[in-house]
Amino acid sequence: MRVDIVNFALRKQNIIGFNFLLSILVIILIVYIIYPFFGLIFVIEPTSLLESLKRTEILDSVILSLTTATISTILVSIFGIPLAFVLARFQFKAKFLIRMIVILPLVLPPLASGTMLLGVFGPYSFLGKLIPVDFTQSVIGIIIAQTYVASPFLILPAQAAFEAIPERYEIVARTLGKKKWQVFFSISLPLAKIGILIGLLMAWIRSIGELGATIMMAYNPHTISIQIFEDSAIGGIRNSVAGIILVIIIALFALTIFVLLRRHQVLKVGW
Amino acid sequence: MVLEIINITKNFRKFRLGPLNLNINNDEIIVILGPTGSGKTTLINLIAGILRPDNGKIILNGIDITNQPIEQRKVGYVFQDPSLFPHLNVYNNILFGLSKKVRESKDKIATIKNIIDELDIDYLLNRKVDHLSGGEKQKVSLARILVLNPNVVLLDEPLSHIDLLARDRLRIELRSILRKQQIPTIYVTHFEEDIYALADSIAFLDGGKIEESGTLEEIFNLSPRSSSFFNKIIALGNYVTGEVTKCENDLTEFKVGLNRLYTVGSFPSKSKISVIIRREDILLSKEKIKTSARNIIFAKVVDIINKHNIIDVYLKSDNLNLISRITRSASEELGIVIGDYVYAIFKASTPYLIREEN
Repeated sequence: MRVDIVNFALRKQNIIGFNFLLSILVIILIVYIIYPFFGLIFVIEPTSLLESLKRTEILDSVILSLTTATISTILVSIFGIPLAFVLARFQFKAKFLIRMIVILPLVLPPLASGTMLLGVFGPYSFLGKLIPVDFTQSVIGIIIAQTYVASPFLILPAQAAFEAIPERYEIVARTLGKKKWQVFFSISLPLAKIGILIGLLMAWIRSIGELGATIMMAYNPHTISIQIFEDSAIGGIRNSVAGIILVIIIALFALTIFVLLRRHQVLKVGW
Repeated sequence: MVLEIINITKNFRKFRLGPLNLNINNDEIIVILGPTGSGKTTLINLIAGILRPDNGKIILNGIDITNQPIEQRKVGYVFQDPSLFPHLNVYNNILFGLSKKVRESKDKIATIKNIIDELDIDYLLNRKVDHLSGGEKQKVSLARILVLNPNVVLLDEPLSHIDLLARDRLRIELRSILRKQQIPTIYVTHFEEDIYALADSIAFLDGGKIEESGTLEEIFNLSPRSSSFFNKIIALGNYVTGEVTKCENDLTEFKVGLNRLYTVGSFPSKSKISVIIRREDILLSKEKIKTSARNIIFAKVVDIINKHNIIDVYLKSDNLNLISRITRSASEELGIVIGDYVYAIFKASTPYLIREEN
């Protein structure tokens, strides 16, 4: 009996010790993530912030980023959703290889991706010479860089979403007289909707935050990330605070949608 | 012949289906019975086009559909799992297979309404599918195929996920609606109860091959089979179908050819009832005796089959076939031989009702 009590006390002590350790680790990381935001509050001066926000280059860069990120996301979805479906539903020999290729832009440093893209689309490259279009230092260059870097952010969650749909729904739909493409649009796509939307959102926000590959492909015109980079290089955090605040607002907007989608996914769809 | 399956085979790594032949007539419900792993689902997947056979042909309404894509076959398939589309409500699940144009045609609207009424699911139409019970889900998935007016209906153990009480009721409803729709049906199951409630004919599938097949009456009135699974099922008794002629004081008289039989229970006149009478419940007598038993049938002994100390005596009276199971000593005492006439006697409480049709 006494041994039991001692064991229980020891076990309880162990649990308390473990919980305490977990709490400390969690708190350190949360403070680490949130602390820079507090740092930002201390450098904000309302009058100079307002003046900064009025700078046309800040507003222009935000609009450019929102526009190019949206176009890039649309491009990624046109090619990425079918690819995700193929990876989820078809069995073929090169599947593993294609999966690896899809992940490449995610694991490569964006600066390296940008340099390689420059090698392909630069003015002296084969494509650059062949097609009389300014691929670099242009909006097109920004879109090329963003699409490349953001593609896995859509493809991977979309693939997971397609894989999560039991295949029997698609077979049932075919026995009910629907052709393969009709089944894709009436069953597969609607059932994978939430996963795909989350992927689109992630690809979009990744495109807005894109810097490394974009710097190489198109330093000009400035996206908001390049604008922050430049403002910070010239005048530190005080000079770039306006851009950062705008980016935070965009991020909060994306985060809200993300949370709403996740809630919908968990509550309504249930997988 | 609506559906003809000719010499079909399908090989898997550890299993081979066929060569298999099967014919299904119009308005017929064929129950394919077999243990797990006997190839039942493979067979209907081949008919539906989900699998392609290695050899053989499938002919539906005179057209070779062996290599047709799934969606062109007009085969209504109800899966073991109802597989209702979770993003659509009940009504839109039912309409799923219909094009917009067809949905709006007057005839189709009436058909849809009729099927919904028949299945008694109109109170479910606006519900989400995940709020439905197992039985309700299967009714909706049945409605979803019936509105398409399929050439043949395939049911793959549709009642296996449904609780016991609801299952009995659903079986009766299922037969009634399939009869009304007059669509040939293949019903695959490993529940022997499904045979009695649903089948016009049975095929017994084991190890990828059809061991036995025939109408319910043929199967029950044949000699013992090679397959022990099948024997277990038909050993249950004599399958008898007749028309109700009279009903008084909870005692129903029904006629089978020239014979009048009695069973406990009340059924409307002219309705068709099917009962099973256990072999052990039928007594034999060489002389007419006064007894409390209501059923006394004068019949000819057409066959005697010895099984150790148990003897099955096959009897025929007009078009009524019965098997009586007696002990060896009783048989020897009575001195029954083939060609003799005997009285087969059983109580009105012994027939076990399995089907009633008005």
